[in-house]
Amino acid sequence: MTNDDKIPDWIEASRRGDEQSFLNIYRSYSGKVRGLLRQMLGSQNLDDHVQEVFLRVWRGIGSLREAGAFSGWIYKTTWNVALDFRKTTAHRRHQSDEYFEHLSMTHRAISPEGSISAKILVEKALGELDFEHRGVLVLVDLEDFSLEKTSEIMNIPIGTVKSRLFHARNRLRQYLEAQGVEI
Amino acid sequence: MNKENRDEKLIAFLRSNKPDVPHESDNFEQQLLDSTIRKSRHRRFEGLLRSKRNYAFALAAAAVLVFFSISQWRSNILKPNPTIATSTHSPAAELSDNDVYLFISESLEVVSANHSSDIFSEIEGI
Repeated sequence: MTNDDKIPDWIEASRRGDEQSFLNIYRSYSGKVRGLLRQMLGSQNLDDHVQEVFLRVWRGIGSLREAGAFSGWIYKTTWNVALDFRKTTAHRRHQSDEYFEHLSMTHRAISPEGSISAKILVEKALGELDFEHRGVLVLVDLEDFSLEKTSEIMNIPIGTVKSRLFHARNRLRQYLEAQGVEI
Repeated sequence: MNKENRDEKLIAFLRSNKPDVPHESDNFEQQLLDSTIRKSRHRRFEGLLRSKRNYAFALAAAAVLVFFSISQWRSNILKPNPTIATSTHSPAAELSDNDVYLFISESLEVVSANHSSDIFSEIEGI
């Protein structure tokens, strides 16, 4: 029996207050949740954000109607934690026109030895997107969620998901190409 | 290059250069459990107080219970022995001993009219 098969049992046990089962759920989902929050909010205070997600899971698991809905629900909770954090902090929003006015036009070739700098570039590029566009791009392109799942997680129509994805990809492409990345 | 190909190349680049995710701290799981235990206890307490109306009702009921308990306790402290009180306050206790004797005698006369006179003789002897 794989871990995926045991998850419904762990969910039921967690509802009864079984902490070990809850820990098993945490271990099964922490990688994805952690990755999502890292791409959305950065690496600072990541443990706190992850803990907030699983505290909400612990608090709300009793009201979950069916174990099959757990997967969508935990990622939705993750998105909501990211959203709440954003609302409580001051984030600068970059408009594309303003951004490109200050963009450096130097061309740097990314060598195989410079793969670390490519990661930094991707992180900077994500930081240049506004929160909603970054969310769609992270969920679909980085974390491989479907458009339907992304629509459910972010609670927006699929049309909005597609629109934001289109604009996010364009903006990212322009930024990376301006940094010398040939895509 | 069409749009789909460009998107695929972009996605491939992003995924192969995804920013690193730092590992959790060493005692993260223990901290998580401590927080969930604290949260669940707090949640139970919150649940009891969640409804103001229920809270007010419970408080009123508790106050009434305490009041009656104190009243009962005070009554028990101040009231003399109930058996003695009953005997001193009952109507029969207000009769004199002579009245009691007469009452008993008259009753026995009635009884003796229907029964053997030996019973009356035995009572006279008390």
